[in-house]
Amino acid sequence: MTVYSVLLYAVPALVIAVTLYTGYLGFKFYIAEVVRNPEE
Amino acid sequence: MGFLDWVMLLAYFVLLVVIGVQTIRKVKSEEDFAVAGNRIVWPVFFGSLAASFLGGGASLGMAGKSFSDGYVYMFAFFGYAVSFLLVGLFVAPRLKRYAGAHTVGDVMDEHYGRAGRLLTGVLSILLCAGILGAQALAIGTVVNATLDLPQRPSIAVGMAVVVLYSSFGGAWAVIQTDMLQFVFLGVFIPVTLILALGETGGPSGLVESIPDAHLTFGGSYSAAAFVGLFVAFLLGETLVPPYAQRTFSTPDSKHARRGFALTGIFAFLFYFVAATLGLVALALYPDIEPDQAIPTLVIKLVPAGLVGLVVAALLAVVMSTASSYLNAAAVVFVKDVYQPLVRGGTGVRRKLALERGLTLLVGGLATLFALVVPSIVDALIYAYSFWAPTVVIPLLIALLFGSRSKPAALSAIIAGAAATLIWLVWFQDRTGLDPIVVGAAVNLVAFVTAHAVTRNRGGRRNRPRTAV
Repeated sequence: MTVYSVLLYAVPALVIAVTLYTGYLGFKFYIAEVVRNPEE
Repeated sequence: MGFLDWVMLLAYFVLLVVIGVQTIRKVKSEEDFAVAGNRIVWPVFFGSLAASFLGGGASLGMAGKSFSDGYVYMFAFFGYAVSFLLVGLFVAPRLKRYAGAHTVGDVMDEHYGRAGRLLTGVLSILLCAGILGAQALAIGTVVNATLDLPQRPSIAVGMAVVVLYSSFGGAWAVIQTDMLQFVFLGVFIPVTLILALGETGGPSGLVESIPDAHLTFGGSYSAAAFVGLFVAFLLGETLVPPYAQRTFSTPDSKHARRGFALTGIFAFLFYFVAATLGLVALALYPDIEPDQAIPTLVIKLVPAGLVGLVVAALLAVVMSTASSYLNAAAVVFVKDVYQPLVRGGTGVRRKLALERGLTLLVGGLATLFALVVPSIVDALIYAYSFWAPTVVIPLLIALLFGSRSKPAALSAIIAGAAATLIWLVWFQDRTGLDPIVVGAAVNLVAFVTAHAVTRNRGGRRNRPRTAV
């Protein structure tokens, strides 16, 4: 029960954290590849 | 939905179109259209692959099944995540040995000749069209369930956006919009769970409100049913065209391994979130239909201002999968069906125009079928059951052991397809065993037998000729 209680909040929090960090890296890639070098 | 919610939802669609337009200038060749010039680094590969992989089944479907069956369905569904993890660690890096490859057919041709490519190509197109049609129908379901708007205009608008950015920006547009959609689904679906948990009175309130069996590993499934389902999920989507094509878009095997394996790990976490949303819906609204689990939570619990973003997240789940399968269908048609059948080379501009035209055509037809004759979509989805029993075993044997036994591969594909069809028509309802499991087993036996019989007549072990 205790482990499950932790998982119920920890897993969605981890998903959000991983998503935001990946999104940040993806945004940097988008700026570098698509916005700054659209013709390359 | 309030004014602010509509603004948020509209902003999501505008962002998709802006990204699609911005990527048009990146597409100058077939390689740009198919694999984004092999420039997709692992974080972008991971995010876009996760967005493609996590479709309506992993969100709305998962919540609905956990509502009715409990966590046991999630544990069976972990077969997909295990598959991604294993393919990422041991198989995906090997795909990068095939210089210039864009499709599964390229690998099959390298090992098993033109017949292997053509068979793989035709099955790939049917599979992609079926999944694309299913996602188009899911757009209508999401909008109708959450916003109470009619399904047909919703499908038409959602698919029009997908088809437009996919046809002009190719893989560049699909991958970059996938990243935006990944952020939407990875943030706002877990946020919905955290909000909903508060309504149940926290973990203890949730546990008290649902049947004990819903929280157990085996639930009400028999061991045979569970194993059959797990194996079907384990094999069912292995290296389907969009995932293989996305892997080819990475610069090297390190990026391929890391991004693919991370997608598997992320899938475990996302499935837990989606399954728990189903259980929370059961605790709070036990009288609703199972497939209304997530839409009901969104309508009843998500505050104004967030609803638009959560609906956008649900649409992101579906639209990202649709665009990936659409792009794959066009690329596969040109590389695995059109080019092998047309004598002489095709110019770069002509191939690019052909891929763009095919994206418009396939996307338009899938939308039309979803709107007018959804039974055709249902029929095409059967192609999904034939992927693992035909292509996967010969493909894995080629990638892992370097087999070039054409008789073994063709025997396995034909035997696997026949066994799957027979099981699908006559035995699935009687036994409950998924035809994917039976077909894949027959495929493996046929491959090994034919390889043993013909091994002294040309079937030999080798490394890819185009290894880099």
